Amino acid sequence: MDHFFQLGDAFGPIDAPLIEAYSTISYLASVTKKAKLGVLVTNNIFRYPGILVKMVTTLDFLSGGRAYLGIGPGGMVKREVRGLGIPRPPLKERIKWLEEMLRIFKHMWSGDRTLYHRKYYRLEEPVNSPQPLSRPHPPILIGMWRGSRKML
Amino acid sequence: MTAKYADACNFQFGSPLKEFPDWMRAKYNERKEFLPSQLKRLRHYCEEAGRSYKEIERTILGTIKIAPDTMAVTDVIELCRELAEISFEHVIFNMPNVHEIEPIEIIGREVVSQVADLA
Repeated sequence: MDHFFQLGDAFGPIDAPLIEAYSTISYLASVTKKAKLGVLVTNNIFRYPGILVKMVTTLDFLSGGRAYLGIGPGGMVKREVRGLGIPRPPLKERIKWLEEMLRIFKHMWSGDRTLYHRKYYRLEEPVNSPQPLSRPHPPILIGMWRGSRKML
Repeated sequence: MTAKYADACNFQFGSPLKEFPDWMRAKYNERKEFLPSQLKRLRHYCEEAGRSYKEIERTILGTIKIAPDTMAVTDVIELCRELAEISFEHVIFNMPNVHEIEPIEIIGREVVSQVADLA
């Protein structure tokens, strides 16, 4: 899970110890040999797209091609986004951001460093070096609680 | 979006456990109607996008607990069988008692051997 606060209720109080997902799997990359490494699932609004491409690429590169990108529009985060001051638009909007983010992943993982510019994101020079070891790229897994027309 | 960009997808079956919130149990209770309809729609969007449905790995997540008076190994195997029947290939469990280690040993020893060939 990609959360910064524990979820409350039966999951445990919000201040229960919880370590950050990508930092944790980067550590796990160095103490495992075969396990696949991914987050079920990354919240698409927590990191800028270019940064997330760099993070997943780095994970894949350092782990010898064991990364996958799990990603979704996120839920159960009200307390932590307020708590940490993370801007979060409504679901419909987040799904639009997510689609653009996936385009950016494909763009940068294909080695295309020309301008990416659509409605939500503008990346003037999306350089991604090194590229992932996984070919054509680490697998992309899309997670959803209720698959809307757009998500499916 | 899944039909267009994904190599895999992940749905959720919630949880049958009584200590978890109602909305998770509701998700579990509606699984037999909800999940097949979602996969059917995904198959439809794949056709529209000219993509092979079989190329997209179907995975599913939910919360279980192997413990006396909660869930037995046979319940978990039955759940995997049910999910495999509606074309899920990969089941992932959250386990609130995983830190006790024994539950995950039971999964490795008694569940995996029974379900490995299902998908």
